[in-house]
Amino acid sequence: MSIFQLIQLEWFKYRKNTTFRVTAILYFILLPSLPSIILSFDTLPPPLPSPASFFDFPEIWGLVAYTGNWLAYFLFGFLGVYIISVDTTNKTLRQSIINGLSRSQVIKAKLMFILSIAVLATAFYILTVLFLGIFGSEPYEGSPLFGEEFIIARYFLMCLAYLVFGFLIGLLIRSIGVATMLYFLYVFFIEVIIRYLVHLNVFKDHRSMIFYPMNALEDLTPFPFGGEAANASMNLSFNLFLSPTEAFITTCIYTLVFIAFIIYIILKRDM
Amino acid sequence: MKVLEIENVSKSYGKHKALESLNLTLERGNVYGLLGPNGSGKTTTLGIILGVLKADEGQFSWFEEKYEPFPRLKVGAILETPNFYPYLNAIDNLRIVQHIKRSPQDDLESLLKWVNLYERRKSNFKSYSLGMKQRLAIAAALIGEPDVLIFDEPTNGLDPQGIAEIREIILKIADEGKTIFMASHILDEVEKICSHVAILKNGNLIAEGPVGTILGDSVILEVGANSDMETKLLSWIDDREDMELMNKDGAIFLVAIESDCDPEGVNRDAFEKGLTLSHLKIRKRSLEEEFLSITK
Repeated sequence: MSIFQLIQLEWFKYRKNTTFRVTAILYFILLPSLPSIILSFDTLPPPLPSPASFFDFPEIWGLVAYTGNWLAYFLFGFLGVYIISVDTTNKTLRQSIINGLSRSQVIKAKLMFILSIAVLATAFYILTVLFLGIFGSEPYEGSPLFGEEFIIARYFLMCLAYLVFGFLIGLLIRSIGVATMLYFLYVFFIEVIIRYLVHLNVFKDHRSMIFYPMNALEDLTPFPFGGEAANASMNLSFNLFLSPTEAFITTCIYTLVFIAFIIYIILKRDM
Repeated sequence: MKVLEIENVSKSYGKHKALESLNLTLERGNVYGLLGPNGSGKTTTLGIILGVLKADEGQFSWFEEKYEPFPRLKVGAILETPNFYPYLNAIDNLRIVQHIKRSPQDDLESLLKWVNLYERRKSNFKSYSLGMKQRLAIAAALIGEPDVLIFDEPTNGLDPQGIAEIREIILKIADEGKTIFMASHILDEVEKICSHVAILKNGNLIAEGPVGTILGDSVILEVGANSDMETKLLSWIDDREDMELMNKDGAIFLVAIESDCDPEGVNRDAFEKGLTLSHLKIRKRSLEEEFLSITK
C-alpha cells in the first residue's frame, strides 16, 4: 500500500467524524480571528509596542504563531489523543490488522496522517499570516515579509509535536476520556508542578528546568516581545525562555522520542 | 493443500498459560470447529494466527508460506465482537475494509443484500442490533472473496432468530467450498456446521479430527425408572462395569456404554436385579456429550 493510500485510509475514517470536523473548524475559524483581539486594546504595557504594530510584517508571523500555539495546545493535543483512541476504543486498530494491514502499515498510516494535519495546519497558518499581514495592517508598506527565525518550520514542528504527544498518550491509555484528561492534566499541571516544585528546588535554579517537553513546545512560538517582559519580572539567574533554535532542537528530540515509543508500542503490543 | 499450519505455539498472560505448544493443521475446504470452555485458549489461538497477538513461542504459516506479509485477500475474519466505526454507516465501514483489502471490485450493495442489511445500509453502525452488527462483520469478512473465513463465537449474545440467521449464512458460505475456522462453545451449532473439530482445555489441545472420528463408536444409553426406584437404578448403573453415568436429563439418566451393547440384555439384567425400566433407548453420542466427557 502506498503512503497516499494509507493517508486516504485514515481520511475515510475521520472525514465524517463530528469531533474531527468540529476540531478542524475551530482551528480554521479561531486562527485568523483570535489575533484580532489584540487590536481591541488601545495600548499595551511597556516594553510591548502598540497593538497595531503586531500586525506589521514580520511581527505578524509571531502573533499568529503564538495564537496557533494556544490552539494546538488544546485542539491538536486533543486530536492526537482522539485519532488513536477512536481506533483503540472501538477495536478498529485490531480489526485493521485482521483485515490485512501490517503493523508497520498501521504506524505509517497514523504518522503520515498526523504529518498531513500538521502540514495543512501550517499551510493555513501561512495563508492567515499573509492575509492578516497584507489586509490587517493599514497601509501595507511592503516591509520585509520574513524576519522571524525559521518560524514556519517552528510552527510546523509545534503542530506535529502536540499531535504526536497526544497520540502517544492516547495509545498508552486506550480510553478517550481518561487519555484526554491525562493529556490536559499533564500540559496544565503535571509538568508545571514538576518544573517549579520539584526541579527548581532539587537543582536550585538550574537552567535545565526549561527543557521540559511542553515548555519547549510553548517556546517554539512565544508571544512576540513577551520574553523580555517575563524575564524582567523574574529574579532567576538564567533566561526563562529557550531560544528559537534551542526550542526547535529540544522539540525535535522529544518528538523523535515520542515517535520511537509509538512505533515500539504498536510493533510489540498485543492488540 | 494445507491452509494453515500451527506449530508449537505457546502464549502466556503473565503467569497464566493461555496456550501450550499448540499444533494444528487446517486443510482446504474443511469447516473446522475450535471448541473449548471459556478461557481454554480459543480466542488466543485465533488472535495469534490473525497477527493481533504475539506468540511467545512457536510459529505458524498460511497457505504453506511464511506469515509475512499477511495474506490479506485470502483470509476474512471476525475476532470476538464486530469492530467498526460507530459514527459511520454500513457502506462507509465496508469501504474502509475494501480499501485495506485493496479490493475495489467488490459490490458492497450486493454483499449487504446477501447478509440482509441492504435496507439499513445508510444507518450508522451504532444504531444496529447485535445481530445486524454480526451480519455486517460477516459481510466485511467476505470482502475480497477470501478462501478462508475465521469466526470467533459468531452467535455469541444473539437471540434464537439471530443465531438461526448467522448459522444459515455460515452454511451458505460453507456450501461455496470455503475453508472455515470457527471457535464456539455452542456445540450443537458446531455439530451442525463443522466437518472437523479441535478441542482445547486450559490451553492444551486434547482432541482433534473429523467430527465422526471424535465421536467414534461410543454410544449413549438413556435409562429411566419410576422415581421410587431411582436409588436402585443408580446402584445398578454403578455395579455394572461396562456403564458410566454421565448426566441426568430430567428423569432420564444418560449412561456411556460400549457400542456393541445389547439393549435387550441390558433390560433383562435390570429386570433380574428387580428393576423395572420405564425408559430404555440407545443412541449415538452428541458432540456436546463427547465434549463434556473429554473436558471433564
